[in-house]
Amino acid sequence: MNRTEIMAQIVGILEDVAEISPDEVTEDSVLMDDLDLSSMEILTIVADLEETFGIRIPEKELRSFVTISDLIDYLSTRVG
Amino acid sequence: MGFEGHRVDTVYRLITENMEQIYADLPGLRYRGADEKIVTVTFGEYAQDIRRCVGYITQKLGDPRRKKVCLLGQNSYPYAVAILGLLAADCIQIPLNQYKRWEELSYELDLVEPDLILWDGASYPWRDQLLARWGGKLLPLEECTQAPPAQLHEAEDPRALSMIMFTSGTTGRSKGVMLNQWSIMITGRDSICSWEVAVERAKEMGCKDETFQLNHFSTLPLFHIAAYANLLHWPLYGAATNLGDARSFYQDLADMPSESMAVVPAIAEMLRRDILRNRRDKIGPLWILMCSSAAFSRETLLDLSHHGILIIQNYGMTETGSGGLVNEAQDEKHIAAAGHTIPCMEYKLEDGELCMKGECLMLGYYRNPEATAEAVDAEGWLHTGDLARVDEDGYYTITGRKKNLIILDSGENVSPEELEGLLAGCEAIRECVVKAKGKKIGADICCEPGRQEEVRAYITQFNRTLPLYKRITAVDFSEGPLPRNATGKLLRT
Repeated sequence: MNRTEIMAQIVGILEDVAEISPDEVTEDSVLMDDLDLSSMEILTIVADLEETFGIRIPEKELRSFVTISDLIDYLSTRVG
Repeated sequence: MGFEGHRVDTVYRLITENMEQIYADLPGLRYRGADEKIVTVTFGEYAQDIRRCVGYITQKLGDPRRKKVCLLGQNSYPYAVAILGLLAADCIQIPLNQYKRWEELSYELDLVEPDLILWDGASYPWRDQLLARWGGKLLPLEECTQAPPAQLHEAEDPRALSMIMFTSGTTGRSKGVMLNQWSIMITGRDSICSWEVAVERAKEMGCKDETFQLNHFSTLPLFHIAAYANLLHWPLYGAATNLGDARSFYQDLADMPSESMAVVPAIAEMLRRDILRNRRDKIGPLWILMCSSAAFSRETLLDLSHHGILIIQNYGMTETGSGGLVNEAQDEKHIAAAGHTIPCMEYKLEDGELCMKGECLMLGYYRNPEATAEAVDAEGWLHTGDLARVDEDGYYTITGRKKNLIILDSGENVSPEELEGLLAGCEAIRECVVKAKGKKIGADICCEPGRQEEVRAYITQFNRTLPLYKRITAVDFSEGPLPRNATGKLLRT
């Protein structure tokens, strides 16, 4: 799966979990700042990503997810 | 089973009467097992495992009384068993926050000098340091049910120190709050869970005495006083505990249908959104929210209440055990208040600050008499640091904070000084103040305009090293010095 496809999945999940319009999301968006996500919402998004991509993301990786591109980078290495 | 409950006031009686006799065959606890399937343990089986845990601790420590045992790990069935087992064995238990950085955990472990550390062995960032420093004291939590069941005895003194819980200090270093089992059990007995109110609503909903059993869902960490107290309170009423994980919140909720849930504001917001978007299928039979840990928005509470959710709020702090204020009001005027008083505590407002004393109060901060004297005055009043007012109906409302501590939507308490200390590592920052900005942790930073990007990059990088809840996510820059008060201290408001 390439970056654009991964981004599309993330955007869909953000819309479903937190009602964030796809237009608002870019690779540079900071999850807790630009997108105003709570830590609980980030965990829900991670759970949805795990289900979508059929992977388990280890706890210690969560700390490195600050921006959307951090998520894409990580997912690319797992499912790219 | 039923509306009545069986209110005992010691852990020994809770295990031997409620769990082993009255509710023995009812589901006591559910959790997701290693094969991903939900496991249901009856109260009787749960009690048997608690006895095995006492046997295990005795095997490892000889006479376990007054020995100090740390608990370190994710919520799990063995963790719940160990909490009750260590109480039954008359140990002093110290549940630690596994999300902390090693510097903080290490400080707490050195302060406590544990005889034993029960942990889940997960791949935490500090795993190697823990093994190097405390390897000889570590035992796997999951082993704690693998010994023959032990005889149980009533605690020698239910008011003696039985747990130490760390709480964020306002000066950066955490403080160990010393509590006893009495301070938790008495609030259960005096119904801080607002049992009567829930039963009243259950009757209106058509529930029958002979089949009534509540199932209570919690993803809050067991090292936190609210989740910890719930674990001891729900068996008073034969209610089952569903141990969920924040990582798999909706899946766990779907697999363990629950009428009641312990929530912090961030979870309440998600549930509200589900209900308002007609996605009630995501939350199952839920109709009670036990709200605690931070202030909730009136609008959220009203929306939830108007959609049939019974809102129960508990105000308190680790220092007050599980005692504090309780709010069961559903009306517009009172729903957002912190609550009314409970029988086992006394209350007063001193210069606007809410002060409490009574049987629930902590025994003091562990090995920190100065901090204890600062928090509890000579007459035994705990100064909460919260400013409050009380209305003509007896409801207290929190109006602000006197102490310097950020209390977040996730229920976490964060010391601004600690984060300021970490920011000081960036040489482009001349001075800074960390404070709550809306729902976020924000920083006002004084630096040269040309170096703002450097500071932003530093903060982004530094956020990667912090747990999600502790991240600085709202930054404002200033070229000139930050405002100070008359005595030269940086202004925090």
